[in-house]
Amino acid sequence: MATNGKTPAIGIDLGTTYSCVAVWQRDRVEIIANDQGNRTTPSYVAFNNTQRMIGDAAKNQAATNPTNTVFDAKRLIGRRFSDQEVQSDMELWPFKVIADVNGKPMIAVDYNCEKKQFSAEEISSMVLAKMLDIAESFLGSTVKNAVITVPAYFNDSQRQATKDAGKIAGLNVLRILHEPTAAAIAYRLEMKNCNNDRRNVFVFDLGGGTLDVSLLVFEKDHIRVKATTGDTHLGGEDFDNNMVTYCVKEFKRKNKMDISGNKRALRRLRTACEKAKRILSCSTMTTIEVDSLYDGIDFHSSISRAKFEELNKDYLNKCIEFVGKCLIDAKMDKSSVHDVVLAGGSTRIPKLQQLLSDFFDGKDLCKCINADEAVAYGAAVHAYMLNGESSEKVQNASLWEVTPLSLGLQEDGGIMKVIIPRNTSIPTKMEDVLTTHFDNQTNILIHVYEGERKRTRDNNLLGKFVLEIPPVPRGVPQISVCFELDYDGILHVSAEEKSRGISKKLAITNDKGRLSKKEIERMISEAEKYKAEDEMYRNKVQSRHALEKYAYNMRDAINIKEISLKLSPEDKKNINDAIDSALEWLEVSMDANPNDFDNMRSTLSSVFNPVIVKMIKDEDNVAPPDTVASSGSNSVKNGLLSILANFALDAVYSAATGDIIGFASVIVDCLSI
Amino acid sequence: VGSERTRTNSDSATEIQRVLRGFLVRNTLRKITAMRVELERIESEISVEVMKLKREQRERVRVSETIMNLLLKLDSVRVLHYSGLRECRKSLINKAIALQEMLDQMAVTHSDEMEEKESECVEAKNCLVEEEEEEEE
Repeated sequence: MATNGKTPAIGIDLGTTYSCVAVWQRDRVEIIANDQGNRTTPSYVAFNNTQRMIGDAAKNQAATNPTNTVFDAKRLIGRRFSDQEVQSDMELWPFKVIADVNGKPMIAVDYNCEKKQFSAEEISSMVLAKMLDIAESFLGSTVKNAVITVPAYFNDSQRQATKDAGKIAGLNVLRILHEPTAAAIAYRLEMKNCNNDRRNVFVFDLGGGTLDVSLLVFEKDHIRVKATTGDTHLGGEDFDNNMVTYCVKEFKRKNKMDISGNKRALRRLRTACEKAKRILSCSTMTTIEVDSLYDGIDFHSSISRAKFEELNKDYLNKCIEFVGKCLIDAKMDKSSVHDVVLAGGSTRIPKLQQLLSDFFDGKDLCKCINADEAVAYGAAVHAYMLNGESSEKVQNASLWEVTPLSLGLQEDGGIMKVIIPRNTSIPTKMEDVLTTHFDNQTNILIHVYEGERKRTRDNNLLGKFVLEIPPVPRGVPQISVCFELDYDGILHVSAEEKSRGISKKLAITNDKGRLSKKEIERMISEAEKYKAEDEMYRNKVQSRHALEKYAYNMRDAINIKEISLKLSPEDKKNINDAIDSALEWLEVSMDANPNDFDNMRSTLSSVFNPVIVKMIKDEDNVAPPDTVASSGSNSVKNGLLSILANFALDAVYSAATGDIIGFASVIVDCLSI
Repeated sequence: VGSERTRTNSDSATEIQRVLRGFLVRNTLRKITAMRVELERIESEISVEVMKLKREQRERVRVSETIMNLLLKLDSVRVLHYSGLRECRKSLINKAIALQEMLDQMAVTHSDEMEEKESECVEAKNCLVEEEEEEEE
């Protein structure tokens, strides 16, 4: 429970296309729905001349503002501009990506009529901040601590960058967790028979745009990612594309017309196809109907599940190929896999489930958790544990992850000297002692690599640094190099010359295009600034609406028969003119600040209030002190006041009632109406 | 009570289905009507802001996108194999598409007008030049 003064910790699945947030509450995991009521939020951020939008709002306007709508930031995070994948992905994006001076990819957008550049970390941090917002409004308290998931194939710098994104969003990132691990944790919790035996768990994650397959090994108290592979461009959207192509062909066959050039028709068709795809996961037959698709001709075609499977045969088989590849990488036979876990929306396709089950010789698949939410589910469980809380249900799920790659140094001759071997459970700290090869050597260049190959040039260079030492004969200096892996699998390297006490620490940051601490701080303050701007925009819109509503209410009020009869024509005209000028002013002044709205409002009420107050007073004076008549006038006043109250003209209401004492009870009645 | 007894199972089933279908059809019709109102609102907006729409491409895209969203929503309405409903939906879809095409047309005529103006400018310049030449002679 989130009691004893602790703030709750949340789990965030930061996906390529969609993100999901969850929290452990009342002894179970709660997936948190956003303000639109959706349990997943698009990882989209959009900018325009007046505001910034995140999530559903950003995705909904994507078609109207393609160059300033950013998505897929996850494909950029922690990578370099020159990266092969970045280059090929860039061709598919409508927004602009450029390289900064350090070779880091930056996304260029127009925001508030200015050219702005954002790093992928910043874009991801905006999505994370949105998820945090969703969680906070659900929990009704501030949230600081979070576990964020990343794909198992993410390398050190991608993980670091994701952690930085969390920091910029104002989160305390408890841990960076592998997505397959999170999915496996979720199922381990669901499965009641989780004993402490060694279990091999195969995780198959097919989302909207990416396929990740991983093999995990659960041992007594740690989880190890044995092998991972996948395709970064294979997912549900490809299935949709195939269906659209099929429908276009059908339309051509039936009507001899080619609709492939009509973007709008294709969009309607795509939406219809996506819907049909979802239906085909539970029924065997459905129809795709689009009225007046092209040139007034209706499209009507029924599609069977078998047809869908045939259309996507190649993709489905490709998925299974990756499964085989992953097992080969792990050097494991498929018979020794204990559980097969599904995650990602596209794993609902029955054919895919059947193919997987067949591949594993008819094994039952774990699919009891909503596939879209499994990763966030596991992250929330883990966050809860890391937050230092325990409950009987989650006790067994404690885990240690391991490093998927060996870490080491370059020795003489370009040979890799492993300091931390792969599959070491993290966190860990290991040391090694080096010495010099030449007499009077004054500095040592230390290269840090990750990878399994013998020669360093085949491995991935993480960073390098120079340690300066005093000149002495070779073999004399004793330099101890210490490798430290923290909980997030992030490496810190330090070197020390023992006799002189010269030491140096490596920030693996510089070489991998990571953000410096200063930059992160700047981005944090900027993120706050953007948030304040969003807030200001919201306030502005609210005051605009308030003024508009006020003006319309006023007009409605004077048009009501009871009030209209009691107003003199010129009073009415004055009020109407004031309302008209206010509405016109609203029309022309698109970017007035909130104060202007308030001023306008008081101008309006300065015309309206005296008239109404006078009207009510007149009513009072007309009424003779006769009890019967006054009760009659009472009811008239009563009626007037309640009409005003109905129109929520608070200012008038209080002005009028302030003058007339003895109507307190009436006011209370009106308020309660 | 007597009539309850004589009623057969199939009669009851018919009755239930009748009520349900009526409910579903009325519901769908209500949805379509709501969207018709929305479309009419957009139409009046277009007719009011014709000049603005002709001038600004952004505005055009915005309005046409609003219509597109409406269209997608209409596509997702189930017509329950009832031809009346289908006709109703289709007429609305046709209207929406017609509006979109009208917007596209605006873009074309606007750019034509611009070109005409430009060419007029060029012609005017040429005239001036010719006049000057004549004067020189």
